[in-house]
Amino acid sequence: MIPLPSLPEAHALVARSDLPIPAWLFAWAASGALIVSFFALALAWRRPRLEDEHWRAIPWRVARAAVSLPVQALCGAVGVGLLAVAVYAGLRGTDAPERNLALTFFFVTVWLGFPALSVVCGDIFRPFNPWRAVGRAAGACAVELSGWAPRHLRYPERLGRWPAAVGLVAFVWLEVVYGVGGVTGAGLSPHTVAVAALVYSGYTLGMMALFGTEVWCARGEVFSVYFGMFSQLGVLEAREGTLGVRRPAAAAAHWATLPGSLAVVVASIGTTSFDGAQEGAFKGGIEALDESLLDAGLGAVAALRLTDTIFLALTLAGIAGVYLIGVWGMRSIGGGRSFAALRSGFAHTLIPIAFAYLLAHYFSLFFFQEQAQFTYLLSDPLGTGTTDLFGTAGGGIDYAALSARTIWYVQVAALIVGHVLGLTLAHDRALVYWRDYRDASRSQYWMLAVMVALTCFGLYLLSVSNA
Amino acid sequence: MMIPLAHLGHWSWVFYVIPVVIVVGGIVRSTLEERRRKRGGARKNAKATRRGGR
Repeated sequence: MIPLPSLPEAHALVARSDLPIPAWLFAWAASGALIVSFFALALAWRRPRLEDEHWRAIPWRVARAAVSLPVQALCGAVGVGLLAVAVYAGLRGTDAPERNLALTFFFVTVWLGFPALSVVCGDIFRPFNPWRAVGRAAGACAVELSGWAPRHLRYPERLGRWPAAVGLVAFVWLEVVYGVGGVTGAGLSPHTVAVAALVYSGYTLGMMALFGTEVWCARGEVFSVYFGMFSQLGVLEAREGTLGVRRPAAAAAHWATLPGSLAVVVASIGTTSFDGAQEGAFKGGIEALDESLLDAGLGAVAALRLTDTIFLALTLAGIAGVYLIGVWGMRSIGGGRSFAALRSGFAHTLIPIAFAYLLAHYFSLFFFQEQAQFTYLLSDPLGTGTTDLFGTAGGGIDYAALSARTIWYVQVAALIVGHVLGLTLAHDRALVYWRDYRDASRSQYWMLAVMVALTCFGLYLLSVSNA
Repeated sequence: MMIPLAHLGHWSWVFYVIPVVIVVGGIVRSTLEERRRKRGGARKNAKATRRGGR
């Protein structure tokens, strides 16, 4: 009898050992769920339902109060205050990233918390946006003092959301590529993060002065565009001076009309994928290229950063390529729509997938790291061990609060639900583009392939990085 | 004798590609069938037109 080594012990690359079935079987099951959803949509969903948001105001006084000027001013002040505290902690606090508020605040609480909050509560970052608050206050002061409203430059419409897409990649590059040269676990020092936040604040306020606060927030301000994208999936929206409800995910249908919108959503999926694959699926490739660059004479840090940058670019290109193949396939059905029209017309279908990837990849990190955020980091933001503002400085992270199996099931559920929602949005849009529901369904074979590919890719990344 | 399976984990991605291959294969097959049917229909129409002309 031949002794077979247990695979997880041999290389720890197959799947979590505590799962009842191999991880890849989840990918097969998820693909099955997508195929069943596809045929269910083809049979039962024969007219577009998500083109109209059906927004209606909530008839309670609190809905109007929630978006009133004093509340907005208060939220803006809270946003500015939190940014100031985080920057101060980064500049003056300890260099140990796990003890300093700055890193967890920027990269976990804000970066991962606001997408989830935006889906649930609508565009909640908008009132808390510190740069928008400063920009609006400065504009109001200028009007008050000079008696005339400042004139802004006309924003080049061709640029659309491209500045936000580039900024999004730059932000993640700072975290997962630039940071790898550091000696700490997080890779980035709190001081670097604080300086980056100050540079970004200067850049953002400058752009707001040039093009106007609201115009820049809608197109170029990375965080407004990024969190605003996820808010399109939710049911709450402030409009006409009050809070209202709309059909879930219906707002997404008209989000991708600006140029660069596809780039934003692809950047979101691509950067999350790269972050998940860096220490898992891409590890071997990254090490091989890194060695080649070292042999070519590059320094250790430069070689690693260049390698990671190349892999990040390849991941972005890969995600964009899969989507564009789907669009190319759709075009073969006919209907007279150009490739460019289909490309932007279906870009919004990737928003739930971007959220699913985010949730699946960072759910456990967020869950554990927020325990640190709301205990010792909040009481001792500088991490010097000398302050205990709220009496929680002695707190810690309870890693037993969430089992590995629970994390895996949340990840799988997030990916399946996200892709089914993406498929639904795509089907609904196809019913608008191809009047005959049979043609619309046939066009969506290709989007089904895109969704199955992205689901399997996401589960593969998770299975490898979890192992 | 030991089977060198230590690196088998590197090939786990194959299991994740299989569903994608099945779906893409199904789409390509149905697209080709559709084209063939359309071409066949066009040929029949052309024949009918020629007969009608005679």
